[in-house]
Amino acid sequence: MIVGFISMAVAILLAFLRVPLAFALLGTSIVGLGIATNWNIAFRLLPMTISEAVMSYDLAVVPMFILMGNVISRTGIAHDLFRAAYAFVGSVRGGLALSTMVACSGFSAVCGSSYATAATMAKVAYPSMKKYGYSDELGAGTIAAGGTLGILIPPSIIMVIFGILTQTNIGHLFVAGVIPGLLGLLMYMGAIRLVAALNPDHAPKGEKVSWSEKFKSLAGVWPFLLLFGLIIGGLYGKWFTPTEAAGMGAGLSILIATFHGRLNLKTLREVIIETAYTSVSLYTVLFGALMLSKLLTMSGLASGILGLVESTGLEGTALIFAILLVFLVLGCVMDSMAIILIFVPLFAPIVVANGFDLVWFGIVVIVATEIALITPPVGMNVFVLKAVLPDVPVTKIFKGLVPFIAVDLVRLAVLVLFPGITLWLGSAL
Amino acid sequence: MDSPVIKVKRAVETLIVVLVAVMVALTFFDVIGRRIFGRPIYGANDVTEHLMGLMVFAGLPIVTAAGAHLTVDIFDKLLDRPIFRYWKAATAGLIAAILCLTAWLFVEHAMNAGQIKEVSQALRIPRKPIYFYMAASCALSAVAVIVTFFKGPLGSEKSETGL
Repeated sequence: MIVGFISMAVAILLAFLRVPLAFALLGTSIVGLGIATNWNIAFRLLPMTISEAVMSYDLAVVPMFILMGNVISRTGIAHDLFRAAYAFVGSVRGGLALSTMVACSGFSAVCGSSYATAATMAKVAYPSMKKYGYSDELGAGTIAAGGTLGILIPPSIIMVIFGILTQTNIGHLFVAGVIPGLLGLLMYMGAIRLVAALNPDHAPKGEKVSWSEKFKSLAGVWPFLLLFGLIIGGLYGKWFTPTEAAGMGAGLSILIATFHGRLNLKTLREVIIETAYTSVSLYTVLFGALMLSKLLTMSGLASGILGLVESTGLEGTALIFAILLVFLVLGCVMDSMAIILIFVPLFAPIVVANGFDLVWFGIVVIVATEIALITPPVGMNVFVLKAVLPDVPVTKIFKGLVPFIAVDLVRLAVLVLFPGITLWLGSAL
Repeated sequence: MDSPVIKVKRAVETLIVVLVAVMVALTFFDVIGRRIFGRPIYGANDVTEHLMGLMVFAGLPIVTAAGAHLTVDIFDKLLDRPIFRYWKAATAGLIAAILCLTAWLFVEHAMNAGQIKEVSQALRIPRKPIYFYMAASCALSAVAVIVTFFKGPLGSEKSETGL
């Protein structure tokens, strides 16, 4: 147990000292396994773990969903979603921010990444908000918070990683993410309305749009409806597995983008290379996390922590809140993906031993890491936004995020206290 | 005039593009074939698994050379100080050592796979060559770490949004 603990601490230290996460995890796991068991086992486990992971059909879901998101980003669907959302909700006070939030959730439904959602929506919505006199705080805060929906509303790459690490059904996770994602959207919209009511200067009213214009704007959102319907409908109806859904989604997104005239061979090549870079760096880090997970089990750290938790007398909802508090604190200083990769294998056995559903736990953990994306000092969505909007000070973005973080914490508590909200949709599966 | 390294990088990227395109097309038509025509493509899963292995390990050396691995960069400003230059060298050494070890272990894994005649489930494709390929990729990546430590990272096409 002590070897496991020291290895994990060293892995985290090395990661903070800028050793790429994959190699920090791989290096410490090999040494830890070598000491805790024997070197022969450690050396045999490494190629076996890597080859099994890389040549797993289930894991092929990762590059194909990333490809779908990257292709769809180039189709201009984000503009179409924003235009349609603005036509319907733009005329009220804070309407542009509300439209941005709706478009963010729509884009999240065809893209599995929060960073891509935030970066794309920043380019699409921020110039309009600036033009109509929105404050930087509300404008940038809305986009950074809206971007976090990318990892909760399926498809979601982090959900896939959670599913692989905990051997939870990825399709069930996707379906379970739908209602908490919509709840997040509604609560964010509530936060915008509240900010707009309290500070009318931050969020002026938009222009009224006629009903014929409203219906015309819907013509641009059919690719989104088709893709989301296909993926979630297909998984819900058990027509195909997550990997097949990803392949269909990627293939269809290429066809849609070609149909729109926004994808030629040169662009497709660029998009696939971009996808491969992201996938490879994700895979290597996953190899490290899988080795770490083996170390946690074989060194006795996982069972040791379980015993430790039992000795504290923490159980039920209080235990979950305690685990989520750890995730929230870590979220202030670590990237969401790193938190999931390192700490989910540690806490998942505790959650299972206490009789909780791993699908539900996956969703609440992802909501906690969503909060991690927007909390200072390391709020990755804020940094992505800063890269796209260099003129907006980071402090203003964080200030604008305060109401969104507040409603996020309420949402997290609601989802923990009422697991039925998360599990209801998937109960028929 | 592009350097040979850039030419090799472009060639590997083209290979990756082909591998990913085939993988997507295979899954797409397999599902359509199965659901609409009741005729799936035999061994599609098996081929996809191999394509994944080929793609990831084709990409490993160029991602490593581009310095595009996922890092926690909260202390970047601190670590960019001159006093930490030895730490950067140590980091490069550590990564290269891990990659060399992995390469060597994959060579052993390939030899074992050859001895026990390990094959894939559906199409009975021998595993030995792909394990050797993984070993070669890790070894090449180790070289890339050392070269880029001295020469700087290779131009990356990583997206600005990352994941």
